[in-house]
Amino acid sequence: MRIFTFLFLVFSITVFSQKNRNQLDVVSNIEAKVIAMKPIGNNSLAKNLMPFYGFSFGGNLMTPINFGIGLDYSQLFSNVHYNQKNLYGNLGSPRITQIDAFLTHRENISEDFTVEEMAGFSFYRYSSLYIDEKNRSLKDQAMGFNLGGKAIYTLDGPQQVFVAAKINFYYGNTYNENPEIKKYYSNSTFLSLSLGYRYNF
Amino acid sequence: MKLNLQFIAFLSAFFWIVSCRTESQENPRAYVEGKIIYSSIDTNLYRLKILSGSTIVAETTLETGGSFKLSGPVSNDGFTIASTEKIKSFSADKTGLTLSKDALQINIPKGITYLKFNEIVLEK
Repeated sequence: MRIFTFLFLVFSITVFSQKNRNQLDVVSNIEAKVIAMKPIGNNSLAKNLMPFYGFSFGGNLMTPINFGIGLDYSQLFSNVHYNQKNLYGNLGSPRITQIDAFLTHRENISEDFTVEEMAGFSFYRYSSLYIDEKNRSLKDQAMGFNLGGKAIYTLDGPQQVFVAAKINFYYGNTYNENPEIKKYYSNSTFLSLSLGYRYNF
Repeated sequence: MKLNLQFIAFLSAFFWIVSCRTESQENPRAYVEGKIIYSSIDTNLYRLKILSGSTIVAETTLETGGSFKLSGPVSNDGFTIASTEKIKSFSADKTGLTLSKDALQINIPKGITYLKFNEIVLEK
């Protein structure tokens, strides 16, 4: 947690301190959003768990040619399906921390409406608590990539609200000697929908 | 453009730090399936478990007909299958499995993570 706070600080300082010194037309924004995320396909995260819900913070930098870069930090929480406990294991409170870094392209539809498309890489930390052992959790780290779209509505001046849809590919590190089982527990695909608020600088 | 370069440098540094930690971790997971043969046990009370060390990492009741599927995270040192009723005999697709003295556990040696039992016969 501390490292992310630090990184976020570094990120904010880099972004905001530079803005005044260089007279560039690069604009920046920060956003906060709530997310509903459903893993899909034939894999453990999709079959053994309920949909994930969570929140996210992020920021974007946008150049005058309507291309930009962005970073999202999300926390997602779920529960185990009661009748799937035998396949998921004696574990509870599954949680995914997700970091997405992406390129963005913006299209201005009208004065108030903007659409953005994103594509980039993702990093995930997955954890789940051992029910039979206090203070110990199963941990895994995964890499992947993401594709998404955002519809943005301008409220007034710097304030905007948006709806975003995203698809994330997840490649984890669970090992089993049976390749089918290994794949079932390691990989997944996430579909997510989020609602958010953005402030432009 | 100076700003963007800085941001990209920051991102690369970030991913470099992050990638250092991804390689070392491997999470072995055991997957066991098969069939229990019994004559007079109370299936509502019967449990089959996977133990990693002394921790219960998976637990299940039996499906109708006595079949089961069980999976949980284990360590690299092998794992144990524990039954709440005494086991008379068993046969599986791998060798090296041993029955404990109290006949309540089957010890699975290092290196096996997938196991299919043709049958586990209970005393009762």
